[in-house]
Amino acid sequence: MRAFIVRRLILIIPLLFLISVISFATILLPPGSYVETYVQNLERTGFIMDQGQIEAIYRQYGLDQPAALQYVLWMSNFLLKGEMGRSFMYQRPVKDVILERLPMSATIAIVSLAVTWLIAIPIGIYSALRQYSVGDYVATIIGFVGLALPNFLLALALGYWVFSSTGRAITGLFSIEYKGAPWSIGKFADLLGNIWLPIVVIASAGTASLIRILRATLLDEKNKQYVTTARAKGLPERRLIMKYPVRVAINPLISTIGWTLPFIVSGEIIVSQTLGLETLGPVLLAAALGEDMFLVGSIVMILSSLTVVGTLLSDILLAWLDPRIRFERIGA
Amino acid sequence: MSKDNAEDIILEIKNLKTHFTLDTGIIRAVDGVNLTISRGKTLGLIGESGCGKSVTAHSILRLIPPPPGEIVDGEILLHRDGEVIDITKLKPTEEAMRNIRGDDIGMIFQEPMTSFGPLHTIGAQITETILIHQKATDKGEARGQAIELLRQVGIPNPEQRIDAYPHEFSGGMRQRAMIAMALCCSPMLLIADEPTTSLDVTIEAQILELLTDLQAETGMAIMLISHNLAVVSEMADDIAVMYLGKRVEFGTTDAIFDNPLHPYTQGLWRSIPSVDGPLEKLVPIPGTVPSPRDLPPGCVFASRCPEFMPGVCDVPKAVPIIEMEPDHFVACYLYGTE
Repeated sequence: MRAFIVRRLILIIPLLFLISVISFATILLPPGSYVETYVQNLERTGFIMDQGQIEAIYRQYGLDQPAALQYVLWMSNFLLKGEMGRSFMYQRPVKDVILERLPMSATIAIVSLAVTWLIAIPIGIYSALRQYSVGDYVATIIGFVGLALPNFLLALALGYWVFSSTGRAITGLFSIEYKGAPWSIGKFADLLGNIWLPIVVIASAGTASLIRILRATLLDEKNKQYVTTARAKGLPERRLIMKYPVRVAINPLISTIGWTLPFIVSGEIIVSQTLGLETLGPVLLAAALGEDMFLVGSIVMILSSLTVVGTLLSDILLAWLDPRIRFERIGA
Repeated sequence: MSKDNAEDIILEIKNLKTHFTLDTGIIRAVDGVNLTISRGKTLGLIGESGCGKSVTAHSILRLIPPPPGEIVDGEILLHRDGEVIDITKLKPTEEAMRNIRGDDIGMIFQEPMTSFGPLHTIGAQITETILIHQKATDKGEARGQAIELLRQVGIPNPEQRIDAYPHEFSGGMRQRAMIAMALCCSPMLLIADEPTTSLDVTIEAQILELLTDLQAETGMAIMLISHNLAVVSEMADDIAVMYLGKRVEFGTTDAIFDNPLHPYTQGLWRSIPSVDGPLEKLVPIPGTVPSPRDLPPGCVFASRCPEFMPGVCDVPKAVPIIEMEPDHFVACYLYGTE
């Protein structure tokens, strides 16, 4: 097991390097730069910068250097000091912009993930064990509706329904009076009153697909020979189902943890945009539109790296849960 | 059979009917089967694929999945400690049934490659069985017993191999481990459902020898299901020949071999080469097994029978079972009509 983890850890180093290069390339990719956009905007308002001032800005951000050198500077700052450059849009270090948004992104994502799993796993098991029962059909219908409805539409519809029936307008995570206010019991209660909506919306889509995956795998597993063997041993039905086929059927879900790690950081971009949530997703969108290169590049790099790390975590978890994946033998 | 004492009887199957109700019709997988198994004896159950051998075995442990499978008639009587339990009256999931499974009756299956759960060690799956049925045993003792069992079935290095996972065992080793698991609570009856079908010939011989040795040691009864006549003739004391859910002939192994009565049994014999007899051309049984959805009226073998008697065999009523010699039964009109 340890050799397996070490081998995988060594393998991801070149992968992370490649990701950083590609992320940096996306920074340089768009024609023009934020500085040009910035200068043009100033010109539109009648303020003409002279060449010296423009060059000063270029120098300030190191943009006059060759690309390779810029990359080395950017990466060494990131690795040594954790700095990722400066956001033109926010006029603040990229690190601060990201860290400010991160807790809320992570909270929403983790809670909605937990809700997804807590709902999906029991329903998936029920659906498979009582295939073609009324409950299975109900779960299937709700599952498909959840899968088919675009998240943002559900968000808007739920938001409208809450507003029209209670008069409460959910626009963002905090009501206006608490925005920017220090933490208090009132602010926390206000958060609870708002945060359920994005969680319900995000969880609904994930739940549907997880139910389908679990149901399909479990239907396959529960008729396998080893289940009959366990039954022939005299195991109680409930215990044998949970211990044997369910354990096997959960594994495909474990492998999806890898993809959810970047999602924990970025949040659901479209839902966040629709509901005005202060997560990282909308920042990425705005930064991409505004050619805020360092911000875009940094977020892209973090999300890609997290995908790699998440996949590694999934693999380690799977190897821990499923002996067939490990490459070792006992007493052979 | 009457030469055995009645108190030696472990299991009696009387007129067992296990049917599967599908949208396309009722499949009479087992349709009126009678069997008796005695202590220390081996009963061989032979017949082609789909003749109901495995369904009979699964019915005994109530492993037939409902729906669509259901025992619609008959009795399965387990003689245990002086009392008689009708297994068909138990619910498949109730405790009384679970206490029979793995404890009074052990079972080994055809597919050693898939018959262990993939995520738990061999040892964990064996000790689990011990812990379910022997409430007084603690984990350490159960592990010791499991190691001893693995040694008994010929697994080398059982102290280490007990912590191996199923995929780390070869097919033959897995079948040995499966036997160890089926025997861990010293069952009165071991049901072996084609235990060697997916193994190669040398391993097959080893496994069969192992079963014979274990039977001599423990005195358990074995119900050996196979389509392999050589395997059955070597192991069994009595043989039941099945065709399309019916027991067409039943007798001691010698009687069935030396004096096969039913045309189907005779056909089976003609279709396999004989080692010591003169070299003969093998004669396959003509035709194919009719669909169990659509059974012919009267004798189910009539459509393939060389002795078919029009107006007798196709009369839609049950074929009489005739005792031609002591303990040698045949269901065929050739030997009388009543």
